[in-house]
Amino acid sequence: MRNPSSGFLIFISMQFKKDNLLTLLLLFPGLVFFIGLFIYPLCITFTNSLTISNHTGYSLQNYIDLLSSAKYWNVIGITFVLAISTTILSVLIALPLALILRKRVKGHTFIRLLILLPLTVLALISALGLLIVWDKNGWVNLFLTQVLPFIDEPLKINYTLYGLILFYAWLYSPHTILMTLSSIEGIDRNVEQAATITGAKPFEVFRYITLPLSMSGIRSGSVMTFLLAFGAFNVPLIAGGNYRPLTVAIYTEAGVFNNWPKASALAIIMGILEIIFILIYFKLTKKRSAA
Amino acid sequence: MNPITHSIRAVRTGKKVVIYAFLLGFALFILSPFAVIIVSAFGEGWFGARWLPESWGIRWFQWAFQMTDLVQVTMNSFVIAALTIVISLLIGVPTAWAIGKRKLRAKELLIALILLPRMIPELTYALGTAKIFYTLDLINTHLGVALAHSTITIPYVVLIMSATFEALEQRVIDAGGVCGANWFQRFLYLVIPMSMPGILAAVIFVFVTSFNEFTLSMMTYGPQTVTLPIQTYLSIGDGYKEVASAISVILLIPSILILGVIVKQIKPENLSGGVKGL
Repeated sequence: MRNPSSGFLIFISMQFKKDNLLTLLLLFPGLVFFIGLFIYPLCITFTNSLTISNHTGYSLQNYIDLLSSAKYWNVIGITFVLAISTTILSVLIALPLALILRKRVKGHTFIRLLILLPLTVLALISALGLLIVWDKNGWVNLFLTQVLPFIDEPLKINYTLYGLILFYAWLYSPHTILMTLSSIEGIDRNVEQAATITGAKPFEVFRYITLPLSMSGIRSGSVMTFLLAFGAFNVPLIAGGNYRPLTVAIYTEAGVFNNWPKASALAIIMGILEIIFILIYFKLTKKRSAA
Repeated sequence: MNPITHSIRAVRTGKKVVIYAFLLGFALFILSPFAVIIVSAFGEGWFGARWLPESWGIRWFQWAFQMTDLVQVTMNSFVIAALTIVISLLIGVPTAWAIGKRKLRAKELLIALILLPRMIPELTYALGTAKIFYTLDLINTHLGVALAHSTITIPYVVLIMSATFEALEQRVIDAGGVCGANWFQRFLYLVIPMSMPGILAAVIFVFVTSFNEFTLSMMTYGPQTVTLPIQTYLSIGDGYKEVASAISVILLIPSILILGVIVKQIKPENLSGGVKGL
């Protein structure tokens, strides 16, 4: 004898399985993309990094060569210095700018438009323009030497580390600025007013109310800036001069010396370094926001 | 006037001066590269320490059109961007629906996984992509470059569209079902119109990313699929700053148009989105 409730249960479980199947079917194209265009190329890069050109078999020789050479440690160091300095500089630009813009001063819509420019214009065009502006005979040096009375010698900015950091900040700070702005404008002004009324000085309001409340935006924006600066390729390629970050070193290895295994090994090292850095960063900032 | 109000007023104007000096500095910092490119593209005889060139003309533009096939290059960029949009939507939308509307066990993990191509530097997997595309004969085809671009655009489509689908009013869709619409009609007449802002944001986003993508194009392009960023790079490499400036002025036009659309259509902070939830 079959009782009706068990029939109902079977019906439900069948429904559930059919539902699962549909979900899997919907996820299928995404899965194919993820494996075909990301995981598989990543594996190819990795296996490629274990070979040596003109030899058969696998070995860790490329990694040993790279990590025992001072030249490549220098490259890794420059990449980190560039990425971290750019992130710090972009936060230093983003915070005052966001605090000013949320007051809706005159002309704030124009400035908001300007923030978007570096995001939509080809990075190479901007880099070309920056190279001309900051040149030895460029407008900035003309201003410094002809308008300001206390500087006589034109500054050398192009193809120096400081210049590169400046260019990176031009390109990638909008990410920090936008995220900081959106989180600062999301703060309930009543909270800050309450702090002011109960006797907090403007700096204390900023330090204990505004900054903690906008921390999530600053954090995600600066992570984005760091990631982009770490993986930046086109700008150092034309404006880097002697300062070659990892990306340019990889491209030179593959494109100029045609040594793909070595380039692949360097690329894998870059990926691992970035993941490690992101994990450390999240741990640090989580602790701070919890405290 | 009372000396206290006087000094308060002085402090206020001082503050205003500082604020506007900061804004002016920022505006000049951002705008100067564009101004200088336009001046250098239209100027002739601009050497040494001079504020402006000796004379003006369009000589560098004539050079640019003689030296490169700019029309073909622009066409390539648009075709590749269009293909990338189609591929990204076809693959991204079903996945986004599964994440936004269906019960999934490890949703957070799935989203983190999907964002991985964006977190890891492109070159890490672009080297492998280039190797695979060589064996599949996808190098130097529009489809190949578009597929490579899709690697970084699909994560954004999934992210934007799953948030859009999640916010849809399920009762409206159910009501459509009660009134006799089958799933296809519900999708066509209810889901698509209701999620139009999200779709539009995703399309603009994919277009901008593909149009400006350099690294992945660099690894997969060939003589027939030179895109605008690649052409700019090649021209700068040729050493003629003025010709490169002239090409750049032409390239600026679509970028400015895109900026106009973005300002009207989507929230600017979505542009750098992706890691917002982390």
